[in-house]
Amino acid sequence: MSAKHVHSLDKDKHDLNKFGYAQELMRSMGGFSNFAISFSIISILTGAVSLYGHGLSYGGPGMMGFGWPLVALFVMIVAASMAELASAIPTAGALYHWASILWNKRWGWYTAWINLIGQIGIVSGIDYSVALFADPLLGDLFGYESTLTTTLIAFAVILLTHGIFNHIGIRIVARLNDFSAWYHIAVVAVLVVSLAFFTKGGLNAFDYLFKVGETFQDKPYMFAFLIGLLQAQWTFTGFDASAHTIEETINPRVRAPWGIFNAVAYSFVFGFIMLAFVTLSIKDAGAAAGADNAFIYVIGQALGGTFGKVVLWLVTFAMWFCGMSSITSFSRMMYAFSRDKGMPGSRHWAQISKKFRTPAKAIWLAVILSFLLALVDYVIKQANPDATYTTIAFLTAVSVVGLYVAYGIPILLKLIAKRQGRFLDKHRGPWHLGKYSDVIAVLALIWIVFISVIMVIPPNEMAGYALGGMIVVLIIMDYAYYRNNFPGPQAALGTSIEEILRKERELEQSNSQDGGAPFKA
Amino acid sequence: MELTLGIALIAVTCLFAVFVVRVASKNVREFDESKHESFLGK
Repeated sequence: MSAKHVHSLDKDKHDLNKFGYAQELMRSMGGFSNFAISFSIISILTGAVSLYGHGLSYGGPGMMGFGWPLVALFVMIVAASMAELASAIPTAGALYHWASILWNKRWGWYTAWINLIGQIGIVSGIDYSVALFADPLLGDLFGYESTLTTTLIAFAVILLTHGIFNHIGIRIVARLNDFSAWYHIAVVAVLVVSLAFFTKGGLNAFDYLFKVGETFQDKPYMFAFLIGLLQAQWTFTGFDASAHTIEETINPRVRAPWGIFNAVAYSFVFGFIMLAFVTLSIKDAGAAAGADNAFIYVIGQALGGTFGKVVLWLVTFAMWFCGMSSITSFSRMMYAFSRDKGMPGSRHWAQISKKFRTPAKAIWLAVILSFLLALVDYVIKQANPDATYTTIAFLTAVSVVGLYVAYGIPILLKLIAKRQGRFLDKHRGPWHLGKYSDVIAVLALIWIVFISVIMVIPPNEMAGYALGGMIVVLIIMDYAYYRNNFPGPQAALGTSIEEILRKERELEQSNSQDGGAPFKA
Repeated sequence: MELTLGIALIAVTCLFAVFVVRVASKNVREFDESKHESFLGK
Protein backbone atom coordinates (compact mmCIF):
# COMPACT_ATOMS: atom_id res chain seq x y z
CA MET A 1 0.00 0.00 0.00
CA SER A 2 1.49 3.36 -1.01
CA ALA A 3 2.19 6.22 1.39
CA LYS A 4 -0.38 8.34 -0.45
CA HIS A 5 -2.98 5.59 -0.02
CA VAL A 6 -2.28 5.32 3.72
CA HIS A 7 -2.49 9.11 4.04
CA SER A 8 -5.86 9.05 2.28
CA LEU A 9 -7.17 6.34 4.65
CA ASP A 10 -6.03 8.36 7.66
CA LYS A 11 -7.74 11.46 6.30
CA ASP A 12 -10.97 9.55 5.64
CA LYS A 13 -10.89 8.05 9.14
CA HIS A 14 -10.23 11.46 10.64
CA ASP A 15 -13.20 12.94 8.72
CA LEU A 16 -15.45 10.16 10.07
CA ASN A 17 -14.16 10.62 13.63
CA LYS A 18 -15.31 14.26 13.50
CA PHE A 19 -18.91 12.97 13.46
CA GLY A 20 -18.18 10.97 16.63
CA TYR A 21 -17.91 7.59 14.89
CA ALA A 22 -15.10 5.05 14.95
CA GLN A 23 -13.85 3.50 11.71
CA GLU A 24 -15.46 0.10 12.29
CA LEU A 25 -16.14 -1.05 8.74
CA MET A 26 -13.24 -1.97 6.51
CA ARG A 27 -12.40 0.92 4.18
CA SER A 28 -11.24 -0.76 1.01
CA MET A 29 -13.63 0.22 -1.80
CA GLY A 30 -12.28 2.23 -4.71
CA GLY A 31 -14.20 4.61 -6.95
CA PHE A 32 -15.26 1.95 -9.43
CA SER A 33 -16.54 -0.36 -6.68
CA ASN A 34 -18.55 2.49 -5.17
CA PHE A 35 -20.08 3.21 -8.59
CA ALA A 36 -20.59 -0.49 -9.28
CA ILE A 37 -22.73 -1.09 -6.20
CA SER A 38 -25.25 1.57 -7.23
CA PHE A 39 -25.07 0.57 -10.89
CA SER A 40 -25.77 -3.04 -9.86
CA ILE A 41 -28.76 -2.07 -7.71
CA ILE A 42 -30.24 0.16 -10.40
CA SER A 43 -29.63 -2.88 -12.65
CA ILE A 44 -31.12 -2.07 -16.03
CA LEU A 45 -31.47 -5.82 -16.52
CA THR A 46 -33.76 -6.09 -13.49
CA GLY A 47 -36.17 -3.13 -13.40
CA ALA A 48 -36.34 -2.28 -17.10
CA VAL A 49 -36.71 -5.95 -18.04
CA SER A 50 -39.13 -7.19 -15.36
CA LEU A 51 -41.39 -4.14 -15.84
CA TYR A 52 -40.97 -3.96 -19.63
CA GLY A 53 -44.49 -5.35 -20.07
CA HIS A 54 -45.87 -2.75 -17.66
CA GLY A 55 -44.27 0.12 -19.59
CA LEU A 56 -45.28 -1.25 -22.99
CA SER A 57 -48.83 -2.05 -22.01
CA TYR A 58 -49.47 1.41 -20.54
CA GLY A 59 -47.40 3.71 -22.75
CA GLY A 60 -46.80 1.66 -25.90
CA PRO A 61 -43.45 1.94 -27.72
CA GLY A 62 -43.31 5.67 -26.89
CA MET A 63 -42.77 4.73 -23.22
CA MET A 64 -39.25 3.60 -24.13
CA GLY A 65 -38.49 6.60 -26.36
CA PHE A 66 -39.96 9.32 -24.14
CA GLY A 67 -40.59 7.77 -20.72
CA TRP A 68 -37.08 6.41 -20.11
CA PRO A 69 -35.15 9.65 -20.91
CA LEU A 70 -37.73 11.81 -19.14
CA VAL A 71 -37.42 9.82 -15.90
CA ALA A 72 -33.64 9.61 -16.31
CA LEU A 73 -33.35 13.39 -16.64
CA PHE A 74 -35.20 14.03 -13.39
CA VAL A 75 -33.53 11.15 -11.54
CA MET A 76 -30.16 12.65 -12.54
CA ILE A 77 -31.37 15.90 -10.97
CA VAL A 78 -32.28 14.02 -7.75
CA ALA A 79 -28.96 12.13 -7.86
CA ALA A 80 -26.97 15.36 -8.29
CA SER A 81 -28.63 16.84 -5.18
CA MET A 82 -27.94 13.68 -3.19
CA ALA A 83 -24.36 13.58 -4.42
CA GLU A 84 -23.77 17.05 -2.95
CA LEU A 85 -25.04 15.86 0.43
CA ALA A 86 -22.92 12.71 0.34
CA SER A 87 -19.85 14.84 -0.30
CA ALA A 88 -20.66 17.20 2.58
CA ILE A 89 -21.71 14.60 5.18
CA PRO A 90 -19.89 11.32 4.39
CA THR A 91 -21.45 8.83 6.84
CA ALA A 92 -23.11 5.44 6.23
CA GLY A 93 -26.43 6.61 7.68
CA ALA A 94 -26.62 8.94 4.67
CA LEU A 95 -30.24 10.12 4.16
CA TYR A 96 -31.16 9.70 7.79
CA HIS A 97 -27.97 11.23 9.15
CA TRP A 98 -28.25 14.16 6.70
CA ALA A 99 -31.85 14.83 7.78
CA SER A 100 -30.93 14.54 11.48
CA ILE A 101 -28.19 17.11 11.43
CA LEU A 102 -29.75 19.43 8.85
CA TRP A 103 -32.90 19.78 10.94
CA ASN A 104 -33.38 17.53 13.98
CA LYS A 105 -33.16 13.92 15.10
CA ARG A 106 -36.90 13.27 14.80
CA TRP A 107 -36.87 14.19 11.09
CA GLY A 108 -33.87 11.90 10.82
CA TRP A 109 -35.73 9.11 12.60
CA TYR A 110 -38.71 9.33 10.22
CA THR A 111 -36.38 9.53 7.21
CA ALA A 112 -34.59 6.39 8.39
CA TRP A 113 -37.78 4.37 8.78
CA ILE A 114 -39.21 5.51 5.45
CA ASN A 115 -35.86 4.60 3.84
CA LEU A 116 -35.82 1.28 5.70
CA ILE A 117 -39.30 0.30 4.51
CA GLY A 118 -38.34 1.25 0.95
CA GLN A 119 -35.25 -0.93 1.34
CA ILE A 120 -37.26 -3.95 2.55
CA GLY A 121 -39.53 -3.47 -0.46
CA ILE A 122 -36.66 -3.25 -2.91
CA VAL A 123 -34.64 -6.21 -1.55
CA SER A 124 -37.71 -8.40 -1.30
CA GLY A 125 -38.96 -7.29 -4.73
CA ILE A 126 -35.62 -7.92 -6.43
CA ASP A 127 -34.93 -11.32 -4.86
CA TYR A 128 -38.51 -12.46 -5.41
CA SER A 129 -38.08 -11.45 -9.06
CA VAL A 130 -34.93 -13.60 -9.20
CA ALA A 131 -36.94 -16.50 -7.77
CA LEU A 132 -39.79 -15.95 -10.25
CA PHE A 133 -37.30 -16.12 -13.13
CA ALA A 134 -35.00 -18.83 -11.72
CA ASP A 135 -37.57 -21.32 -10.42
CA PRO A 136 -39.25 -22.13 -13.78
CA LEU A 137 -35.80 -22.34 -15.40
CA LEU A 138 -34.61 -24.77 -12.73
CA GLY A 139 -37.90 -26.63 -13.07
CA ASP A 140 -37.20 -27.15 -16.78
CA LEU A 141 -33.68 -28.29 -15.98
CA PHE A 142 -34.53 -30.73 -13.17
CA GLY A 143 -37.99 -31.77 -14.32
CA TYR A 144 -40.25 -30.33 -11.63
CA GLU A 145 -43.19 -27.96 -11.85
CA SER A 146 -42.74 -24.46 -10.54
CA THR A 147 -45.29 -23.66 -7.83
CA LEU A 148 -45.68 -20.98 -5.16
CA THR A 149 -43.91 -23.30 -2.71
CA THR A 150 -40.92 -24.01 -4.96
CA THR A 151 -40.66 -20.26 -5.75
CA LEU A 152 -40.61 -19.49 -2.04
CA ILE A 153 -37.90 -22.10 -1.48
CA ALA A 154 -35.86 -20.64 -4.37
CA PHE A 155 -36.36 -17.17 -2.88
CA ALA A 156 -35.06 -18.41 0.50
CA VAL A 157 -31.99 -20.03 -1.11
CA ILE A 158 -31.23 -16.86 -3.11
CA LEU A 159 -31.51 -14.71 0.02
CA LEU A 160 -29.28 -17.17 1.86
CA THR A 161 -26.52 -16.90 -0.77
CA HIS A 162 -26.72 -13.10 -0.57
CA GLY A 163 -26.54 -13.23 3.22
CA ILE A 164 -23.45 -15.48 3.14
CA PHE A 165 -21.55 -13.37 0.58
CA ASN A 166 -22.36 -10.15 2.43
CA HIS A 167 -21.40 -11.70 5.77
CA ILE A 168 -17.96 -12.85 4.66
CA GLY A 169 -16.78 -9.45 3.57
CA ILE A 170 -16.98 -6.26 1.64
CA ARG A 171 -13.98 -7.22 -0.46
CA ILE A 172 -15.65 -10.19 -2.13
CA VAL A 173 -18.91 -8.26 -2.45
CA ALA A 174 -17.05 -5.32 -4.01
CA ARG A 175 -15.34 -7.68 -6.47
CA LEU A 176 -18.65 -9.26 -7.39
CA ASN A 177 -20.17 -5.79 -7.80
CA ASP A 178 -17.30 -4.77 -10.08
CA PHE A 179 -17.91 -7.91 -12.12
CA SER A 180 -21.64 -7.20 -12.08
CA ALA A 181 -21.15 -3.75 -13.65
CA TRP A 182 -19.19 -5.27 -16.56
CA TYR A 183 -21.60 -8.19 -16.73
CA HIS A 184 -24.56 -5.82 -17.19
CA ILE A 185 -22.76 -3.97 -19.98
CA ALA A 186 -21.72 -7.24 -21.67
CA VAL A 187 -25.24 -8.68 -21.59
CA VAL A 188 -26.65 -5.44 -23.04
CA ALA A 189 -23.98 -5.58 -25.77
CA VAL A 190 -24.82 -9.22 -26.62
CA LEU A 191 -28.51 -8.38 -26.73
CA VAL A 192 -28.09 -5.27 -28.87
CA VAL A 193 -25.71 -6.89 -31.38
CA SER A 194 -27.96 -9.96 -31.67
CA LEU A 195 -31.07 -7.86 -32.23
CA ALA A 196 -29.29 -5.53 -34.66
CA PHE A 197 -28.04 -8.35 -36.89
CA PHE A 198 -30.33 -11.34 -36.38
CA THR A 199 -33.86 -10.01 -35.81
CA LYS A 200 -36.20 -11.99 -38.04
CA GLY A 201 -37.60 -9.65 -40.68
CA GLY A 202 -35.36 -6.78 -39.57
CA LEU A 203 -35.91 -3.93 -37.11
CA ASN A 204 -38.76 -1.41 -37.18
CA ALA A 205 -38.06 2.11 -38.44
CA PHE A 206 -36.35 4.29 -35.79
CA ASP A 207 -39.39 6.56 -35.34
CA TYR A 208 -41.35 3.54 -33.99
CA LEU A 209 -39.51 4.14 -30.72
CA PHE A 210 -41.25 7.50 -30.36
CA LYS A 211 -44.73 6.37 -31.32
CA VAL A 212 -47.17 7.88 -28.82
CA GLY A 213 -50.93 7.52 -28.46
CA GLU A 214 -50.94 3.70 -28.35
CA THR A 215 -51.90 2.10 -25.06
CA PHE A 216 -53.14 -1.41 -24.32
CA GLN A 217 -55.01 -0.31 -21.21
CA ASP A 218 -58.52 1.15 -20.98
CA LYS A 219 -57.29 4.56 -19.89
CA PRO A 220 -56.67 7.85 -21.71
CA TYR A 221 -53.16 7.77 -23.22
CA MET A 222 -51.60 10.56 -21.17
CA PHE A 223 -52.83 9.05 -17.93
CA ALA A 224 -51.69 5.57 -18.99
CA PHE A 225 -48.30 7.00 -19.96
CA LEU A 226 -47.83 8.45 -16.47
CA ILE A 227 -48.67 5.10 -14.84
CA GLY A 228 -46.24 3.41 -17.21
CA LEU A 229 -43.42 5.58 -15.84
CA LEU A 230 -43.19 3.08 -12.96
CA GLN A 231 -41.00 0.94 -15.25
CA ALA A 232 -38.22 3.54 -15.46
CA GLN A 233 -38.81 5.00 -12.01
CA TRP A 234 -38.46 1.63 -10.27
CA THR A 235 -35.34 0.87 -12.28
CA PHE A 236 -33.73 4.11 -11.12
CA THR A 237 -33.84 3.33 -7.39
CA GLY A 238 -31.20 2.26 -4.91
CA PHE A 239 -28.40 4.59 -5.95
CA ASP A 240 -28.20 5.76 -2.32
CA ALA A 241 -26.08 2.58 -1.93
CA SER A 242 -22.99 4.60 -2.85
CA ALA A 243 -23.73 6.78 0.19
CA HIS A 244 -24.50 3.84 2.51
CA THR A 245 -21.12 2.29 1.69
CA ILE A 246 -19.34 5.61 2.13
CA GLU A 247 -17.51 4.47 5.31
CA GLU A 248 -16.02 1.62 3.28
CA THR A 249 -14.91 3.86 0.40
CA ILE A 250 -11.48 5.45 0.07
CA ASN A 251 -11.65 9.22 -0.58
CA PRO A 252 -15.43 9.07 -0.10
CA ARG A 253 -16.19 12.79 -0.35
CA VAL A 254 -15.32 12.64 -4.05
CA ARG A 255 -15.85 9.01 -5.02
CA ALA A 256 -19.28 8.43 -3.44
CA PRO A 257 -20.93 11.45 -5.12
CA TRP A 258 -19.47 10.37 -8.45
CA GLY A 259 -20.73 6.86 -7.72
CA ILE A 260 -24.26 8.15 -7.15
CA PHE A 261 -24.37 10.39 -10.20
CA ASN A 262 -22.49 8.18 -12.66
CA ALA A 263 -24.53 5.11 -11.77
CA VAL A 264 -27.69 6.94 -12.86
CA ALA A 265 -26.08 8.52 -15.93
CA TYR A 266 -24.55 5.28 -17.26
CA SER A 267 -27.74 3.35 -16.49
CA PHE A 268 -29.62 5.90 -18.59
CA VAL A 269 -27.28 5.42 -21.56
CA PHE A 270 -27.01 1.61 -21.51
CA GLY A 271 -30.66 1.19 -20.54
CA PHE A 272 -31.80 3.38 -23.40
CA ILE A 273 -29.69 1.51 -25.96
CA MET A 274 -31.08 -1.81 -24.73
CA LEU A 275 -34.71 -0.66 -24.63
CA ALA A 276 -34.39 0.98 -28.06
CA PHE A 277 -33.23 -2.22 -29.76
CA VAL A 278 -35.70 -4.44 -27.93
CA THR A 279 -38.57 -2.08 -28.85
CA LEU A 280 -37.43 -1.76 -32.45
CA SER A 281 -37.55 -5.55 -32.75
CA ILE A 282 -41.22 -5.80 -31.65
CA LYS A 283 -43.35 -7.68 -34.17
CA ASP A 284 -46.74 -7.34 -32.48
CA ALA A 285 -46.93 -4.81 -29.65
CA GLY A 286 -50.42 -5.90 -28.59
CA ALA A 287 -49.43 -9.55 -28.24
CA ALA A 288 -46.23 -8.58 -26.40
CA ALA A 289 -48.13 -6.33 -23.98
CA GLY A 290 -50.51 -9.19 -23.22
CA ALA A 291 -47.80 -11.85 -22.78
CA ASP A 292 -46.80 -13.20 -19.34
CA ASN A 293 -43.31 -11.79 -19.84
CA ALA A 294 -43.31 -9.13 -22.56
CA PHE A 295 -39.52 -8.88 -22.68
CA ILE A 296 -39.00 -12.59 -23.27
CA TYR A 297 -41.89 -12.65 -25.72
CA VAL A 298 -40.31 -9.90 -27.82
CA ILE A 299 -36.86 -11.53 -27.72
CA GLY A 300 -38.36 -14.92 -28.55
CA GLN A 301 -40.28 -13.50 -31.53
CA ALA A 302 -37.22 -11.67 -32.81
CA LEU A 303 -34.51 -14.26 -32.24
CA GLY A 304 -36.25 -17.58 -31.54
CA GLY A 305 -37.19 -19.45 -28.34
CA THR A 306 -33.77 -20.92 -27.56
CA PHE A 307 -32.09 -17.55 -27.54
CA GLY A 308 -34.96 -16.24 -25.40
CA LYS A 309 -34.13 -18.88 -22.81
CA VAL A 310 -30.43 -18.00 -22.85
CA VAL A 311 -31.33 -14.34 -22.33
CA LEU A 312 -33.57 -15.37 -19.45
CA TRP A 313 -30.64 -17.07 -17.70
CA LEU A 314 -28.36 -14.07 -18.33
CA VAL A 315 -30.97 -11.70 -16.93
CA THR A 316 -31.57 -13.93 -13.91
CA PHE A 317 -27.87 -13.77 -13.02
CA ALA A 318 -27.95 -9.97 -13.37
CA MET A 319 -30.88 -9.86 -10.95
CA TRP A 320 -28.94 -12.04 -8.52
CA PHE A 321 -26.10 -9.48 -8.50
CA CYS A 322 -28.65 -6.71 -8.04
CA GLY A 323 -30.15 -8.45 -4.99
CA MET A 324 -26.75 -8.98 -3.41
CA SER A 325 -25.85 -5.29 -3.69
CA SER A 326 -29.25 -4.33 -2.29
CA ILE A 327 -28.58 -6.31 0.89
CA THR A 328 -25.17 -4.62 1.25
CA SER A 329 -26.82 -1.21 1.07
CA PHE A 330 -29.76 -2.16 3.32
CA SER A 331 -27.53 -3.67 6.02
CA ARG A 332 -25.26 -0.59 6.12
CA MET A 333 -28.26 1.66 6.50
CA MET A 334 -29.59 -0.44 9.42
CA TYR A 335 -26.13 -0.64 10.96
CA ALA A 336 -25.79 3.15 10.92
CA PHE A 337 -29.31 3.71 12.24
CA SER A 338 -28.79 1.15 15.02
CA ARG A 339 -25.43 2.72 15.90
CA ASP A 340 -27.54 5.73 16.89
CA LYS A 341 -30.09 3.49 18.69
CA GLY A 342 -33.01 4.17 16.34
CA MET A 343 -34.40 0.61 16.10
CA PRO A 344 -35.65 -2.03 18.53
CA GLY A 345 -32.66 -4.29 19.32
CA SER A 346 -30.21 -1.66 18.07
CA ARG A 347 -27.40 -3.10 20.18
CA HIS A 348 -27.37 -6.23 18.01
CA TRP A 349 -27.77 -4.66 14.58
CA ALA A 350 -24.92 -2.22 15.24
CA GLN A 351 -22.45 -5.02 15.99
CA ILE A 352 -19.56 -5.56 13.61
CA SER A 353 -18.16 -9.03 12.95
CA LYS A 354 -14.64 -8.84 14.33
CA LYS A 355 -13.43 -11.38 11.81
CA PHE A 356 -15.00 -9.99 8.63
CA ARG A 357 -15.50 -6.31 9.57
CA THR A 358 -19.08 -6.44 8.29
CA PRO A 359 -22.35 -5.64 10.14
CA ALA A 360 -23.17 -9.36 10.25
CA LYS A 361 -26.32 -9.22 12.38
CA ALA A 362 -27.76 -6.34 10.32
CA ILE A 363 -27.10 -8.38 7.16
CA TRP A 364 -29.06 -11.35 8.50
CA LEU A 365 -31.84 -9.08 9.75
CA ALA A 366 -32.12 -7.69 6.20
CA VAL A 367 -32.37 -11.28 4.92
CA ILE A 368 -35.02 -12.25 7.48
CA LEU A 369 -37.18 -9.13 6.98
CA SER A 370 -37.11 -9.60 3.22
CA PHE A 371 -38.05 -13.27 3.57
CA LEU A 372 -40.89 -12.47 5.97
CA LEU A 373 -42.54 -10.16 3.44
CA ALA A 374 -42.66 -12.92 0.83
CA LEU A 375 -43.74 -15.45 3.47
CA VAL A 376 -46.73 -13.26 4.38
CA ASP A 377 -47.68 -13.16 0.70
CA TYR A 378 -47.29 -16.96 0.50
CA VAL A 379 -49.56 -17.53 3.51
CA ILE A 380 -52.21 -15.19 2.05
CA LYS A 381 -52.12 -17.02 -1.25
CA GLN A 382 -52.30 -20.44 0.42
CA ALA A 383 -55.34 -19.30 2.41
CA ASN A 384 -56.96 -17.79 -0.68
CA PRO A 385 -55.71 -19.48 -3.88
CA ASP A 386 -57.93 -17.23 -6.05
CA ALA A 387 -56.30 -14.04 -4.75
CA THR A 388 -55.36 -11.63 -7.54
CA TYR A 389 -53.07 -9.77 -5.13
CA THR A 390 -49.74 -9.14 -6.88
CA THR A 391 -46.92 -8.66 -4.46
CA ILE A 392 -44.31 -7.57 -7.00
CA ALA A 393 -46.36 -4.67 -8.41
CA PHE A 394 -47.24 -3.62 -4.89
CA LEU A 395 -43.64 -3.84 -3.66
CA THR A 396 -42.25 -1.83 -6.58
CA ALA A 397 -44.66 1.05 -5.97
CA VAL A 398 -44.02 1.00 -2.20
CA SER A 399 -40.26 0.92 -2.68
CA VAL A 400 -40.30 3.77 -5.23
CA VAL A 401 -42.33 6.07 -2.97
CA GLY A 402 -40.52 5.00 0.23
CA LEU A 403 -37.08 5.53 -1.27
CA TYR A 404 -37.83 8.76 -3.14
CA VAL A 405 -39.55 10.38 -0.15
CA ALA A 406 -36.47 9.45 1.90
CA TYR A 407 -34.26 10.98 -0.83
CA GLY A 408 -36.36 14.15 -0.86
CA ILE A 409 -36.45 14.92 2.88
CA PRO A 410 -32.72 15.79 3.30
CA ILE A 411 -32.72 17.71 0.00
CA LEU A 412 -35.58 19.85 1.32
CA LEU A 413 -33.95 20.24 4.75
CA LYS A 414 -30.69 21.38 3.17
CA LEU A 415 -32.53 24.10 1.28
CA ILE A 416 -34.14 25.23 4.56
CA ALA A 417 -30.83 25.08 6.44
CA LYS A 418 -29.22 27.23 3.73
CA ARG A 419 -32.05 29.75 3.87
CA GLN A 420 -31.64 29.95 7.66
CA GLY A 421 -27.92 30.51 7.28
CA ARG A 422 -26.96 27.28 9.07
CA PHE A 423 -25.58 25.42 6.06
CA LEU A 424 -22.96 27.67 4.49
CA ASP A 425 -20.60 27.46 1.52
CA LYS A 426 -17.79 26.33 3.82
CA HIS A 427 -19.86 23.22 4.70
CA ARG A 428 -20.05 21.99 1.12
CA GLY A 429 -17.94 18.98 0.23
CA PRO A 430 -15.58 18.96 -2.74
CA TRP A 431 -18.37 17.68 -5.04
CA HIS A 432 -20.95 20.44 -5.36
CA LEU A 433 -22.90 22.33 -7.99
CA GLY A 434 -22.11 25.86 -6.82
CA LYS A 435 -24.69 28.46 -7.81
CA TYR A 436 -26.83 25.81 -9.57
CA SER A 437 -27.28 23.77 -6.39
CA ASP A 438 -30.56 25.33 -5.20
CA VAL A 439 -32.39 25.33 -8.52
CA ILE A 440 -31.45 21.68 -9.06
CA ALA A 441 -32.64 20.82 -5.54
CA VAL A 442 -35.99 22.53 -6.18
CA LEU A 443 -36.45 20.63 -9.47
CA ALA A 444 -35.57 17.39 -7.65
CA LEU A 445 -38.25 18.05 -5.02
CA ILE A 446 -40.90 18.88 -7.64
CA TRP A 447 -40.18 15.58 -9.41
CA ILE A 448 -40.28 13.59 -6.15
CA VAL A 449 -43.69 15.04 -5.22
CA PHE A 450 -45.00 14.43 -8.74
CA ILE A 451 -43.78 10.85 -8.99
CA SER A 452 -44.92 9.99 -5.45
CA VAL A 453 -48.47 11.02 -6.37
CA ILE A 454 -48.35 9.13 -9.68
CA MET A 455 -47.20 5.94 -7.93
CA VAL A 456 -50.09 5.79 -5.46
CA ILE A 457 -53.08 6.65 -7.65
CA PRO A 458 -55.18 3.79 -9.14
CA PRO A 459 -54.24 1.12 -10.10
CA ASN A 460 -51.55 1.46 -7.41
CA GLU A 461 -53.80 2.76 -4.65
CA MET A 462 -52.89 -0.20 -2.40
CA ALA A 463 -49.35 1.17 -2.23
CA GLY A 464 -50.78 4.50 -1.07
CA TYR A 465 -52.85 2.82 1.66
CA ALA A 466 -49.84 0.79 2.79
CA LEU A 467 -47.63 3.86 2.97
CA GLY A 468 -50.34 5.80 4.82
CA GLY A 469 -50.67 2.93 7.31
CA MET A 470 -46.91 2.81 7.68
CA ILE A 471 -46.77 6.50 8.55
CA VAL A 472 -49.47 5.99 11.21
CA VAL A 473 -47.44 3.13 12.76
CA LEU A 474 -44.33 5.30 12.73
CA ILE A 475 -46.15 8.15 14.46
CA ILE A 476 -47.37 5.74 17.16
CA MET A 477 -43.83 4.35 17.64
CA ASP A 478 -42.44 7.86 17.78
CA TYR A 479 -44.89 9.18 20.38
CA ALA A 480 -44.91 5.95 22.41
CA TYR A 481 -41.16 5.63 22.81
CA TYR A 482 -38.64 7.15 20.41
CA ARG A 483 -39.68 10.77 20.89
CA ASN A 484 -37.89 10.77 24.23
CA ASN A 485 -35.50 7.87 23.77
CA PHE A 486 -33.79 8.33 20.42
CA PRO A 487 -30.43 10.01 20.97
CA GLY A 488 -29.83 10.54 17.23
CA PRO A 489 -26.49 11.06 15.55
CA GLN A 490 -25.98 14.29 17.50
CA ALA A 491 -25.33 12.18 20.61
CA ALA A 492 -22.31 10.60 18.91
CA LEU A 493 -20.69 14.03 18.78
CA GLY A 494 -20.17 13.74 22.54
CA THR A 495 -17.99 10.63 22.14
CA SER A 496 -14.43 11.41 23.14
CA ILE A 497 -11.63 10.83 20.67
CA GLU A 498 -10.04 8.44 23.20
CA GLU A 499 -13.18 6.30 23.17
CA ILE A 500 -13.28 6.33 19.35
CA LEU A 501 -9.62 5.31 19.11
CA ARG A 502 -10.11 2.59 21.73
CA LYS A 503 -12.92 1.06 19.62
CA GLU A 504 -10.75 1.17 16.50
CA ARG A 505 -7.79 -0.43 18.30
CA GLU A 506 -10.01 -3.24 19.62
CA LEU A 507 -11.25 -4.05 16.13
CA GLU A 508 -7.77 -3.88 14.65
CA GLN A 509 -6.38 -6.21 17.34
CA SER A 510 -9.14 -8.81 16.93
CA ASN A 511 -8.78 -8.55 13.19
CA SER A 512 -5.03 -9.19 13.34
CA GLN A 513 -5.50 -12.10 15.79
CA ASP A 514 -8.07 -13.71 13.48
CA GLY A 515 -5.69 -13.40 10.57
CA GLY A 516 -8.04 -11.06 8.71
CA ALA A 517 -6.92 -8.18 6.57
CA PRO A 518 -5.67 -5.26 8.63
CA PHE A 519 -7.55 -2.01 8.58
CA LYS A 520 -4.48 0.03 7.80
CA ALA A 521 -1.36 -0.72 5.86
CA MET B 1 -42.56 15.80 -35.09
CA GLU B 2 -42.53 13.03 -32.45
CA LEU B 3 -39.14 11.85 -33.64
CA THR B 4 -37.73 15.38 -33.34
CA LEU B 5 -39.18 15.80 -29.86
CA GLY B 6 -37.82 12.44 -28.77
CA ILE B 7 -34.32 13.16 -30.02
CA ALA B 8 -34.47 16.61 -28.39
CA LEU B 9 -35.41 15.02 -25.04
CA ILE B 10 -32.52 12.55 -25.27
CA ALA B 11 -30.17 15.40 -26.20
CA VAL B 12 -31.34 17.51 -23.22
CA THR B 13 -30.80 14.55 -20.86
CA CYS B 14 -27.30 13.94 -22.22
CA LEU B 15 -26.43 17.65 -22.08
CA PHE B 16 -27.62 17.87 -18.48
CA ALA B 17 -25.32 14.96 -17.57
CA VAL B 18 -22.39 16.63 -19.28
CA PHE B 19 -23.20 19.93 -17.55
CA VAL B 20 -23.22 18.32 -14.08
CA VAL B 21 -19.97 16.47 -14.80
CA ARG B 22 -18.27 19.71 -15.90
CA VAL B 23 -19.50 21.81 -12.97
CA ALA B 24 -18.76 19.15 -10.34
CA SER B 25 -15.34 18.29 -11.80
CA LYS B 26 -14.33 21.95 -11.75
CA ASN B 27 -15.46 22.31 -8.13
CA VAL B 28 -13.63 19.14 -7.06
CA ARG B 29 -10.42 20.43 -8.69
CA GLU B 30 -10.72 23.86 -7.06
CA PHE B 31 -11.73 22.57 -3.61
CA ASP B 32 -9.74 24.24 -0.85
CA GLU B 33 -9.58 22.03 2.24
CA SER B 34 -8.39 24.88 4.43
CA LYS B 35 -11.68 26.74 3.88
CA HIS B 36 -13.81 23.67 4.57
CA GLU B 37 -15.60 22.97 7.81
CA SER B 38 -17.56 19.77 8.49
CA PHE B 39 -21.28 20.36 9.00
CA LEU B 40 -22.00 18.67 12.32
CA GLY B 41 -25.43 20.20 12.90
CA LYS B 42 -24.49 21.66 16.26
